[in-house]
Amino acid sequence: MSARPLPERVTPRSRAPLHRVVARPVGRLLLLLAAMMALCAVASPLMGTWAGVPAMLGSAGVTALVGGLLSRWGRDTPERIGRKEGFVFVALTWLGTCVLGALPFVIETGLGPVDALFEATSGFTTTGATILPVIESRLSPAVHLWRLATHWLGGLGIVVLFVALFPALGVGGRHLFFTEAPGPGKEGLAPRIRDTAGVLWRVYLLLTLAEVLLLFAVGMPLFDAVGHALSTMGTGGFSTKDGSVGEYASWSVDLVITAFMLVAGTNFALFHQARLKGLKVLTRNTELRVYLGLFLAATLVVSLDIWRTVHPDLLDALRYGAFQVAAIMTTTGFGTDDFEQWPALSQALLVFLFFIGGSAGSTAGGMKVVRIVVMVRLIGIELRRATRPALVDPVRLGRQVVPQGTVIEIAGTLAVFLFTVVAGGLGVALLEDTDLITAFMASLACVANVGPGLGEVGPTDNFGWLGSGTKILLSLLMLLGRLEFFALLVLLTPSFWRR
Amino acid sequence: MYVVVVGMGEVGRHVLHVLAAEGHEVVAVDIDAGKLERIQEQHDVAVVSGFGASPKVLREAGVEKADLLVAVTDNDEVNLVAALGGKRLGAVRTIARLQGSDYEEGESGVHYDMLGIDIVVNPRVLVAQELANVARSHGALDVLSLAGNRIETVHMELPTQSRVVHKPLSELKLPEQTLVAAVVRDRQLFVPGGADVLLPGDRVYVIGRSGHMDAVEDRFCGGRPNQRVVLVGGGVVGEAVARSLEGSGLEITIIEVSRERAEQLAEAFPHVTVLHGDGTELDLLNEEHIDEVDLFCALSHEDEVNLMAGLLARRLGARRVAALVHRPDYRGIYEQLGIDVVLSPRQVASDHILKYVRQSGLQSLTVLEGGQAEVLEFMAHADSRIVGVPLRRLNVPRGAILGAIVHQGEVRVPRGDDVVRAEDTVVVFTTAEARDRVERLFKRRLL
Repeated sequence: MSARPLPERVTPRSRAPLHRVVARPVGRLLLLLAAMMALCAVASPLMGTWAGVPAMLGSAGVTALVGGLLSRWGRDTPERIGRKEGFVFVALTWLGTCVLGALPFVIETGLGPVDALFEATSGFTTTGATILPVIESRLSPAVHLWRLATHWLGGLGIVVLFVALFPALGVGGRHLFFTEAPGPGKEGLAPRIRDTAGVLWRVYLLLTLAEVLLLFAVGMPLFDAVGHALSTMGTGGFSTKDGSVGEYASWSVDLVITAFMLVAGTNFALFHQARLKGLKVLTRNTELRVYLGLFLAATLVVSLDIWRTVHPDLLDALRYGAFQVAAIMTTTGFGTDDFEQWPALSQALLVFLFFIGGSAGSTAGGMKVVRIVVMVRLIGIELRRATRPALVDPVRLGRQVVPQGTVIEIAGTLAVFLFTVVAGGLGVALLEDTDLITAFMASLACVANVGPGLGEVGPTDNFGWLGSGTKILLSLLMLLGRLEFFALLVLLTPSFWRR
Repeated sequence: MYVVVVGMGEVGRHVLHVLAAEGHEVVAVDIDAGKLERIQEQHDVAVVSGFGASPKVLREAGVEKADLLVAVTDNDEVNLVAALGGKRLGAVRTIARLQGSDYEEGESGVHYDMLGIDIVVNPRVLVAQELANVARSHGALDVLSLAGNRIETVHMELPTQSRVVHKPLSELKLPEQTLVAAVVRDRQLFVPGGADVLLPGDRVYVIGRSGHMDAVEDRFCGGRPNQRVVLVGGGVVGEAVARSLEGSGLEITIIEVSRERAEQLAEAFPHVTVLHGDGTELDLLNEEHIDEVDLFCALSHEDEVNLMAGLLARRLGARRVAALVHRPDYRGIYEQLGIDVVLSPRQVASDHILKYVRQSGLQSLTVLEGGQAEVLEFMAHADSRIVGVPLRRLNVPRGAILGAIVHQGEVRVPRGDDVVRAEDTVVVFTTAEARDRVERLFKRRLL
């Protein structure tokens, strides 16, 4: 029997240096990105022009070259990605994607590198803050489509797509998935993570198609319908029009987009579970109930507030109120009305919604409703425990108890969110000669991935006037917000790099 | 395949590791949520924390769509209930592990369709049978039965006085129907060629027809049949070894620390000497003349007792020492300290479970030397590359060797001019590097 030792049980730590282990998957992901770029190039010929095709194909070529070289460099490394490699992979992927994704803008419009990087980062992080004052006349259909596609790819996550398409990642895929996917919790829909990722992407794709069809049916041109569907489902905020969604001045368009913004801000896993187990999954979900409740309550208050003061007609007030509440809450950032002209109560309420954001497991940014719910419950428990120290009362979501560790993690995330917003606001104030509201709202709009803020970065302004330093700072804030801080911050700790 | 594994002990973790690595959908169930968290760090699997025999927990784990349920907690009753419940709730196949002897019917260690559970494995009884094989052999460290007991692989360490050392293999006159499949020197395994020379201290794997192996062992080890066997610990394993060896002509002594248990054993085995005492006590071992013992087996349920008893026996001069290891982590230490035969019930359990899971086309029979080599059993398909070509013209990959061909129940250890025919079972000995190419030999041709 001495001849039968057990096969190695523990995944051995890879001996190859970290950067080379990560190079191969990053390279492969960039190849995927290149394919997406090439796919966008077909938009121009379909619209009857060749403009933009060289820009897209050129960028795809450069991206493919970088990706190919990286994966060649790391070709003989083990295909095992641990926790550590996962963090580095996600950080590098997002940096690489934003830099290379900016190429089409540089080639086509001659934007400076910082401006192009800001635009691409704003796209992939689904922020939707733009530095381009005019879009319609300046971008070819291909590059235009790419600009909107960045929202869609970044929305559910390009790393999640990668996990769905590359089964060889194994448990590494699990680390990657949870590093990129927003929100607390570690539950998959299927035992294997690539199945979970696949399910989510299928739901995402179906919802996007449905929105394209509906928008087309209510009279939007096909290109615009596709563009707005990509932007809405990613909760981005870029539009095909200079005047955002407001330019259509259409009841039905507003209604469809409002509905799909709300859908995009919902946990996608719920749709899959509802299909399997029935609609009671939706009605029983605490986060969804609070999310919709908040939306309805905020819409009611805002609509009543802008009725008579801005819009004489109650129905108009409801239409614009609902659209804007949904656009801010889901961190999409579309505009149909200039909310800077609204009364202070409405503005204050919208700022409050900036913080909250959408649901965990959706494409929306912000703190996420579920975290707010947990924190509110925690405060309630602490208050009750103040008078009865012996009370045993765990934090619950529905019937399920939230583990103590998760509660602490949530509190930590919220604290980091606030610190980041404040630090970002200080940074903008330091770099720009501007007012307090502009500085802090620019920071908040970027960290929460909303896009437009208030003051000089409001819904009718854009970010083009800011200095290069500010643009880089804001790009960083967007990335921090999208990846929920820890994935990037952990790379800055010395203990991470210690062997 | 969708697999639910209940119980994340050594066996559960190992089974999960292998199945997840092969790309199956696996759900891990355990009562300890912390354990499950560590599992998810290492493996891409879903986890459910809760009592494994509860229908609610099993349903949550998706047992109704499971192709297989493996119940391997450290509690026999939980395993039985989980497997029975799993079957009722819709699992296609169920496997349960038992460790006690109370449910044992007969002495095979594996029961098919017991109480409606597809397979029940008792690793302690299985380990006892392996040990009994070693006890009956003429010097092997390990005996593996293949192809329905028609083929054996024996594992031996060559002593200095062996008659086969310092000579090229091609000059050795091996008994008919046997061949040297692999040599382990300095922990490195290689498949030898005709020019290779065996050295004292080498460990060799020889494969051949079952009836011819005693002669091989006599030639390689220059040993003699065992006569005296001492078992320390009369638990489930000890009892099963004694039962298996009863009537084989060996002189068996059991040393059992509990008076009550010793009396039970004495009653059950009239021809076995049962002593009441501590197997790690030097005086007792001296009195029993351990230096004249051919095989000393330390079989208690505590690793520390087994290791110390084994080392004492070694020092006193027992010819060969076997010991049970419960924590696989300790195996390396056992071997390094000079225990000849190390047996792990947990490994035997996972081997059997995985063998059963993979019963189709290819079976991985046994992993050798920490994964350096494997013994595989293939069924040759009518349109696979290996069929119909004399072996010498067939590019058998370096590092692999065809150990036996079973043609219509007839076993042959093949030579260069032998031909594999369709539906033959082929036993292949392969190093890990050559395994993929070996598999390709048996794949169906596309055209």
